[in-house]
Amino acid sequence: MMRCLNSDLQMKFKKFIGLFGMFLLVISLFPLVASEEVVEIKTFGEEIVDAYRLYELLNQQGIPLDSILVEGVQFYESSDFLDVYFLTESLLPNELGILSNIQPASVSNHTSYVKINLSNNEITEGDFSIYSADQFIFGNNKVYVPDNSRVIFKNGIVDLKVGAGSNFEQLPEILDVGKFSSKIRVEGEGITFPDGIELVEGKVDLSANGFEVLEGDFNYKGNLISVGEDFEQVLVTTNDLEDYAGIG
Amino acid sequence: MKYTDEKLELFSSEEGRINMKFLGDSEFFDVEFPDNLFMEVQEGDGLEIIKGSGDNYVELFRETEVIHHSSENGETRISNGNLGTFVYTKDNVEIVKESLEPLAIEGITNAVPMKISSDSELMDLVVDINEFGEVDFLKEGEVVGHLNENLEGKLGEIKKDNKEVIEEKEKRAFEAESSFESYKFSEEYLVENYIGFEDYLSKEEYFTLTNKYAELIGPTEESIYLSGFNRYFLEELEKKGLDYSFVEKVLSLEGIPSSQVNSFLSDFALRDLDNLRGLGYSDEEVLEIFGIAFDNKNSFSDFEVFPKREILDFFKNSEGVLSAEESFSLFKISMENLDASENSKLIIQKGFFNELGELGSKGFSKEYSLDLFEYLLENSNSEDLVFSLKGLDKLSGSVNSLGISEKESLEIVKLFIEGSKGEFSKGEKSYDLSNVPFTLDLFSDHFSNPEQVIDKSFVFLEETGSNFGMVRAFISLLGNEGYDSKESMVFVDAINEYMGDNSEYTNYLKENPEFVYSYLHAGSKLSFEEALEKNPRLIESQLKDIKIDAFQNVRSFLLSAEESGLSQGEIQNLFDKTFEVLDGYTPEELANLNGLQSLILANKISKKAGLSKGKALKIGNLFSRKLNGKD
Repeated sequence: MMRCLNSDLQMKFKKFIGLFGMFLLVISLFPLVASEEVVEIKTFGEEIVDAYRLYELLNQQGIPLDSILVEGVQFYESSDFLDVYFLTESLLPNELGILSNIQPASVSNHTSYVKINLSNNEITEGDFSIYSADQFIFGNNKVYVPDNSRVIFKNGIVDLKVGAGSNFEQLPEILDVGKFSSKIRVEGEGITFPDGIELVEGKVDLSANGFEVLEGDFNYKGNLISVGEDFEQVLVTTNDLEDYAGIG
Repeated sequence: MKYTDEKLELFSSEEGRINMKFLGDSEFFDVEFPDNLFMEVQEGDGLEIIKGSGDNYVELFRETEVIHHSSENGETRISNGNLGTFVYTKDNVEIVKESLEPLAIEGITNAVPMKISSDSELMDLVVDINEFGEVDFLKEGEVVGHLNENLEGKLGEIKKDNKEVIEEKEKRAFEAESSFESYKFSEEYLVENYIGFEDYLSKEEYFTLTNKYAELIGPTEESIYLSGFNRYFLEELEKKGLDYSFVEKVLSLEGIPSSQVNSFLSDFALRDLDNLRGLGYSDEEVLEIFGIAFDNKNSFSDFEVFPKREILDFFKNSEGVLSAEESFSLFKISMENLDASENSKLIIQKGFFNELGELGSKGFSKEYSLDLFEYLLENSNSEDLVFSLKGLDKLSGSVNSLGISEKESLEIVKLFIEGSKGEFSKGEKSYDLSNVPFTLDLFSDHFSNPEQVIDKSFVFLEETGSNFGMVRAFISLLGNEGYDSKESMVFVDAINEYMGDNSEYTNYLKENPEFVYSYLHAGSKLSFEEALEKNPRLIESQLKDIKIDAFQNVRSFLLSAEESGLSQGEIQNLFDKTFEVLDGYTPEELANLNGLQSLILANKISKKAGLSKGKALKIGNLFSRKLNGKD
């Protein structure tokens, strides 16, 4: 299609505007960072619900928003759940900026969504990929997620499908040891963790108890565990566990 | 497996096995190429590996102690390089020479030093392997036997093969395979997993359902664990007054795709069941609806799309418009007419069913709604239909305030569909489809003269009221072939005037600076001043709301160029070069240019644009004055 617009110039102009946008963002965030001393810990589910409520509120009151384009993200709210579907790439308003690291379905090539239980604002299930490494709080877990990873949250398990050669800079943390925490499942190859631990290829669950090797090869400090069958799955722990079959 | 600084414990369950290979960086053994140390602990056995306490590196590893913890049925195998495999059971240790050593090099012993003992009451033999692959057998600290690296010497009947183990392995593998082929879990396994289900199902019912489930997705432990068929599901079903028989019927529906069983059970059957009941469907009818969906699953390349959301939207939207019977009938018609093309899923995703409610709320009678959809289905079944329906999403918004008769509306829809067939089948991927519903089809295709299009467009705008979606569509005409810049300018001016203070429109301009640029670009063929004069609100809103000082600087610079009397060609070139040069600056730098820096920048751009020194200086002076507020 012929366009009056010179596409090269258009691209440059966009880049130009983009650079300014980033600059303004940095400037606008600086006072907040500098002045905030107490940071409230919110789960990712709570963050999404809060952002959604704020956006909703501003819309209802007719307050001008920084951006009106929420095309590509769809919210479904019922009495019990808030479902958020990430469909296509879009320019999100600032209020919903926490969603900007999530790849929409058109990019990730899989259904991209989260389902949040509105009684406690916890994510009950979800499936999404992220662009760049980030830390998320899912329930009682603080989870580091590497670049371009896919996060599948279902039945209390956070399943991370990460790219080959990814590095977990931090292991998942449990925020309150007295409370239930989810299993974090990591799938991939050449995945490194702190302290010389590597998922050579396969699948492991990370929990308060340690690493549960579900399949594949897992190198724990020079000790390579191979799991080819379900009955070969191994829990690698450094803790004293209650029902431990060994000698403690 | 438990790992501490002092020791490593490997304990298997009664049905489990642990396979471990020790690599070069293991802290427990001195493993160096071509050493190969592998341990296998199974069926209740355990190994405890304790670090040595020597003063130096050699002694540390030399002293590593391995303790075999025996069990009733377990077995532990320690394969130590080409020395062989030490097979421990509760009452025996055998040394098996297996051809399992891929790294064996003739003449080189790749055994790893260690001491192995067992806690079995029936054994008090300690095996002591040194770095040369020689083995001492100790009892109560005294050497009672010795083997060289070829296992020649006193003690131990050396078997070349361990038939029992191999037979056992084969037997186990066969059982696993048989289990998989029959798609059934063992009774023992089911009994173990029945715990927690007893409040909802009898043991027999649980077995039946679980095996039905297994038939659909294959029997793995994980499949049960991750199953949508869980206690929560049953609890929810009970709340809805349903029981085992309903689940059995659901799982018996033909065609349910294995990959969707879980999401179907957990999402659709539970949540959407209520909604369908609310619309007056009996549970039997609900099952029938599900069944139709599964029967037609080939219509959806991504079946997930259907049960997740769209069927619900369809029936929700039909509420109040059609009776349950009619919407059901329509649903059937839809399913029967959708072909298996990949794009069918888009039909579902992009507003096909949603239209029904929209049309109904606008006064379309149910007869028309039905007619329309039948028409769509009968006449379009490819990409055309997909794109048409995308466009229809926008159309319906416009129809809302058309104020024309239903019949006319339908005619417009038909016209739109016919038009879109020709246009969209070209496979253009660059179209922003949401922006072009009527413009390219309804007007461009039917009126060859641009002036006619503009006239008709405004007639239509007047008739439809202030509809931003339509305006966005018109804006897309700017890039359409056949309009020169002046015509585009006239068109944009008219839209601008028409929209007045419409905030949605202003926001659109803010979010789409390329549109403003397009305007400027077109404007440059007139004159920059003229362009600004013609549409100050457009430019001002853009510049004011973005609040970027540097943008003002650029604007000032280009205005200066205009005022300096350059030809249109020179202005165009300068315009291009400006953006090339700006690429080399950060936003901060541009926003904080002082007078001198501005002059330097202006000169740099002018030079790049090939302007004479005199013209460059003139532009620079004007630019500097503007920046300093003197002009």
